[in-house]
Parts: sequence; C-alpha cells; structure tokens
Amino acid sequence: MRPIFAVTLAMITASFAVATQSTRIIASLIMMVGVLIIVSVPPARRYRRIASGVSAIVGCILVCFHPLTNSKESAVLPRTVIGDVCSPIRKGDTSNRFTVCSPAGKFVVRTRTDLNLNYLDRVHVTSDFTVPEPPRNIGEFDYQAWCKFHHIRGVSSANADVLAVNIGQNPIGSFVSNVRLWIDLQCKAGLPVDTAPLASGILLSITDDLPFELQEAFGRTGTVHVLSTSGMHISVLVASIGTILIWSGRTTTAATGLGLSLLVGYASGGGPAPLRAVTSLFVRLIARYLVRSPEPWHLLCCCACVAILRDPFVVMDAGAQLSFLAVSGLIVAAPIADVISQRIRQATSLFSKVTLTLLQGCTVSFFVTLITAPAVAFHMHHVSLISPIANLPVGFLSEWALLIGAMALVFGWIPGIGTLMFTLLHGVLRSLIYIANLLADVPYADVATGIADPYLVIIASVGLIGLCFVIGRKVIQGASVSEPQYFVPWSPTKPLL
Amino acid sequence: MVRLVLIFLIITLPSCTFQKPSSLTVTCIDVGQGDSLLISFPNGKHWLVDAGGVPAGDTESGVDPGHRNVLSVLRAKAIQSLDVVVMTHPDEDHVQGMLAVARHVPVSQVYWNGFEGSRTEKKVRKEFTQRGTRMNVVKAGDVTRVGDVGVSVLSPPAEPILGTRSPENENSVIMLIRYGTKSILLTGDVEEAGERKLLATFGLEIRNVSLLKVAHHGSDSSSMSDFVRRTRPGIAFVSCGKRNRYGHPSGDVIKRLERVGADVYRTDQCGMLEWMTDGRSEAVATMLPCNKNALREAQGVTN
Repeated sequence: MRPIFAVTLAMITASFAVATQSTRIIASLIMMVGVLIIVSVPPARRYRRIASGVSAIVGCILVCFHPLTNSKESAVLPRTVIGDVCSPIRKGDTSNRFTVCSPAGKFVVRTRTDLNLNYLDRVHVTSDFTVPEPPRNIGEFDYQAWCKFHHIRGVSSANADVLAVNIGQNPIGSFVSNVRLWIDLQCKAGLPVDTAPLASGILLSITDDLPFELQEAFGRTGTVHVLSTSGMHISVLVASIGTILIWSGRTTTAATGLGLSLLVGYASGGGPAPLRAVTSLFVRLIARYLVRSPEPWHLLCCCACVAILRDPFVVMDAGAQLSFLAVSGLIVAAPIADVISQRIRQATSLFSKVTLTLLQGCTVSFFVTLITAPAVAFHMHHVSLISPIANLPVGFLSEWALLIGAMALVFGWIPGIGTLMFTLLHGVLRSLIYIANLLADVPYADVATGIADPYLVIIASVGLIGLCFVIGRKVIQGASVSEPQYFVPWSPTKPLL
Repeated sequence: MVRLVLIFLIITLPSCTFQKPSSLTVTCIDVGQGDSLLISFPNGKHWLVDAGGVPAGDTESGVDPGHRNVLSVLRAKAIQSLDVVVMTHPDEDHVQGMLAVARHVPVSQVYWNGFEGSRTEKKVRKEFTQRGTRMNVVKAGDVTRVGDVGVSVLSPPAEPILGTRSPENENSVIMLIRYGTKSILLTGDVEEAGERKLLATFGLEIRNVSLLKVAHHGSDSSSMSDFVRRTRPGIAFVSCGKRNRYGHPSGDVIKRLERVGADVYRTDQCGMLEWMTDGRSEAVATMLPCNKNALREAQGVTN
C-alpha cells in the first residue's frame, strides 16, 4: 500500500472517530479498509510497508492533535462577539445571514436590517445567541448537527434584536465580496428574472434567489451539483485562461489560472468542493511543471488530506462526502470511458459515433450516481433514478452556460457582444430549466430510501468503489488510466484542455 | 471479482433488516400552524390527511410545509406513493402543502368534501386531475376497508351545514378508523355545529376513542364539553404552530381533554407525534423530548 493511501485512510478514520465518537462506525471503516487492502492491493515491499505504517501514524497524530479537534469551548454562549465575517453574506427572503468567526467560536448572525458588510470585515455583534433546535420531523435537515460539525456554537434569531457594527474592513474580503456582488448584479442586469438566479447559481453558487421548486427539480434529477462550485468550474476557468493566454508562457498561464481559481473558490464560500478542485489544480500544475503525470487516486488522496488538515470535521459534511465520492466515481469509470473513447475513434458512421458518445456519458454518469447513491440516501433520504440520463443534457448545458456566462461577464462591456452573449446564455439557461423540470416530472424520477444506517452507508460506499474499481480494471486489462476528465458529450472543455 | 462480491455480500447482508409492517401508525407531522397526518396501514398502504400550509392572512414566508415537512417525512419513511390523500376542507393551512405532494408523489385517489375554496385548493385539485388522480367527493356514511382496518366517513353530512361562521370548517371530512379494539377519530377543523351534528348522528360510534386528532388546532370554537365527554379520548394530538398568533391550543380545550383523562400531545411542544397500535396495545412516540409533566407545570394546567 502506498504511503499516500495509508495517510489518507488513517486521517479519514481518525476524523470519523473524533467527529462521531461511534465505535460502530470506526469499526466498520477499519474493517472496510482492511478488506480493500486484502482484495485490491498487491503485497508491498518491505520499505513501503514501513513507510505506509509511519504515514498512517502521522495521519492519526495530525488529526488527533489538530487544534479544532481539541478546542474546548465554554458551555455559556456569549452575548457579544467580536470577529470576522467568514462567509459570504447570504440574502434570504426576510433576513440576511452570515457567519462570524471569533476567538469564542463561530456564530451565525441573522438580521433583518441591511448591513454594509463584506467578507472578512471585522464586526462587533450583540445578540442573544442560542443553540439551534433539533429537527421537528424525521427526515428534515438537522441544522443542529450541521452547526456542530461546522463548529458553529450559536445562532441569532432574525426576529431578535441583533446589533452588528462594522469595525474594520478587509481589502481582500471587500474585493471578493465586490466580485460576488458584481457577478450577481451583472446577471440580474443582463438576464430576465426567470434565468438570472440560475446564472448566479451556476457561475458562483449564489442560490439565494433560486426558486425552491427549481432546486427541488435539480435534486430529483440528481443534478444539483451544477449549483455548487466544483471541478467543472475550475476546469472551464483554467481552459479559458489557457486559451486566452495562449501566447504567454506556461508559468504565466498556470499562475493566472491558479489565482483566478482561488478567487472563485473564496467568492463561492470556500466550501470543501472548491477547496478540492483548487488543491487538485495546484497539485496538477506542480506535476506538469515537474513534467510528471499525477495518478488520479493520489491526487484525490492529496485533496482529502488538505481538506482534513484544514478541518478534521469536514468528513461529516455532505458536500465534502459527495464531492469526493463523485470524483471517485469519475476515476473508477475512467477505464470504461477510455475503452468507449477508442471505439468512438474507430467508428466510421456518424450514428455510431453519436450513440457511443451518449453511451460513454451515460456510463460515467451511472458510475458516479451509483457510488454517490449511499451517501445521497443517507443525507437526502431519496435517490434519483433518472440521474444517469439527466446528467447528460444538464451537465452539457451547464458547462456551456458556465463558459458563455464567463465570457458574457468578461466581454459584456463591448456593445453588441454583451447583449449577444447574455441572449445566448438566456437560451441555454431556459433549456436547462425546461429539461430539469421535464425530467423531474417523470414518474419515479427519484425513490424515497428511508433513513439509511450510517454503518451500511460506509460499507456500501467503500464496497461500491472497490467493486467498480475492479470492474474497471477487468474491462481494460493493464491499460493505464488517464486523469479524470469530464465525459459530458460535446463538452466545451474537451477541445480546450 | 467473485471473491470481492462475496465478501461484500457477507458484510452487508447481516445488517439488512426486512421489516414487515404489522401495525397501524398515525403520524402527526409538525407542519407549524396547520394539519397533516400520515396513516400507515398494516397492509403497507399509506394515506395522507391534509398537508399543512401557511394560514391565509399570515405574512410568514419561506418554504411551504409540503416541501419542508411532508415530503421529508415521506422520504424518511421510504414511502414511494400514496394510496389515498384526504383533503378535509379547503383552508390554506390544510391544502397548501398538497401542491408539493401532488407534484412529487404519485397518488391513486383523493377524497375531499366537495366544498370549493381558496385559489390554492383549486390549483391542488387541478394538479391532481392533470396527473390522472381520481377525485372522490365523500359523504357521511361512506365506508371502506384497508386490510383489517375499517375506515368510516362521518362528515360532511349529506345535507351540508350552512349559515354558520365557517361552513368550510363545519363540513370538514371526519373519519373514524377502527383496528382491533382501537379507534381513531380525525376531525379536520370541525366546529361546534359540526360536532353537534356528529353527536346526533354518530354518537354511539365515536364513544371512547383511543386517539383523537383535536379539531381546529385546539381552538375554543371546537372540542365542546359534550363532544369531549362523549369521545373520551385516551390520547389527543393537537397540531399547532409554535407561538402561533391565534393562541392555539386554547387552555380551556386542554383542560377539557385532560379532565376526561386524555393524554395531550402538542406538535408545538413535542414536534412530530406518532401513535402506533397492533389492534390491542398502543404506544406514542414524539420527535422531541416531551416531558409532559414539566410542560403542564409550565402552563399552569392541572387536572
């Protein structure tokens, strides 16, 4: 077993241990890791065994001695908090919401008054903070648990008197906030009311104004991932930068791409999915600089280690789990997709090429849906059956929406070009809404799964990855797996990357 | 490959539990200031009685309870479709959430009282009709069986009650469900006139019910002393919103219920409520810790 796998598995197990303190879950994880090692990993050399063992111990130590896992917070909630705004200001129907990171912990502030606040500004908040209530019905979102795993100690009620005073501005935070606000305003100015919220959602995960019905349609079709900043955004961004800066050197392109990716990651809230995508890009750029090709599993492990080092409780985050599982699905589907790619190249008729391309997209989408299904069932209590098909048109359209949207924002100031771009974007987004609603209305588009046992979820997730990995290796004996790309047919990033 | 599949199956199979439902379960979903009850029959059929909503005139906004609460419960209970949906009456706080249910859950048939009401109610019926759901107007005296469970409709009467403050409420669909020695009375938003009519027509049938869904969220315009004394419920469920502006449930109604020995559970205090029976014994579960004695002391309610 390679040390990178050992350290990642050790860190994940240790993180689950500190987050859940459930011996059952820890035991199931250790058991599954053991099964994976026995079944899929060939015997290692002695020095590698030692290196793996040492790495695993280091991983455990890093998690167990992490400041966040050992933070001791007083039981009494303070009434006054001085800290930095560490989340984008989200505008709800009736109140604004943001998180304040202070030495006393994180606090969610909800206020009905419009505050002139930006990301990373220092604020002085006075409010009666309370611990969030548990869900009132089974199956509802457990905000209390969510807050616990995100280190949020208290929330203020929007109805209560909340006094928040800006006591210091941060230029970087102001810049990021202004970028976010500018994108949102540009979308609202250039697009009609029915598509502007979706444009903001796809471009920068701003879902504040997105109708709940549409979010539900994306949820039912298993395509809600298009609304969160992830690898797709970073790929399109870097590919665009690479095309625009084609005349410049490799270093300039890489540095610009990385800088912009960091900006997009921060502006979209700095969640685990953007962090994974940016880390992946960073490692890939370093590898390219060193003229080496990173192995996809190593890259994923590296991203997992960075995410856990940043916050060991990230393993309990639904977004993080789904993001990493989805990329695992892409990796295990890669060999099969490669085989279909070869067939596409060999095909002579257009019909065969189109059919095989659709088959490739469906296969990859199926693997991703399959591998993420246990976690989706655990968090959402329903699994989309139509997802393998729905992801084809929705993924395709959302990539184009992202690319056209980015171009509309950059070139929108040129008379005529901006209007043309926004008109095109509107058309793409209308098609996206239509398809999402159409597919969501298909009977049994999703099935209710009930409340899944976490023990079974872990076993099923790890087991499915292992199973698909073995199936993939059986499909193409001995062929090397390229780094995961996007397998959406006619993807705009394909020719660019 | 085969080895891997076998290992996977060996690990997974012992964890799987195959449960066959054998009890009748009534789940009172906490939809805030509204009503929604899910009835799961021993033969695996599921009925939904109302789906909550924001009461007309309330400025409270946000996600409607159909999405936020009812669909969450249906998904958590792995319910793929509903056999019957009952719309007791057309008030917003009972039917608004039906829109989400109609759009996302296949429904075989709808029972309603035939009283046309708000725009939302019309939209709900249109949505159901478009999806091919059968719409049945039910009347007092209609009887059906769901496996071993008998369901009788006690209201609306053949001659509707008119000329009162709220005819929609008075003509709510009222159902009596019997399973073994246990019985459940679901009362919608029926008020005084409706209760009197019910006592006059079905006075014998509604005696000593095991579970009463208290009418009109515990409002003092319902649950009259005669009605409570006749029904003499063992357990009473009140579905009302936390700190609602109507002051539901009324302290008098709670006292009346407790005076006849009813164990009162409220969704505003206990969250979702669940009552289960196998036809002989019964049990109640609440979503939130619900220390009833402490709650009683806090309210100053005494037996």
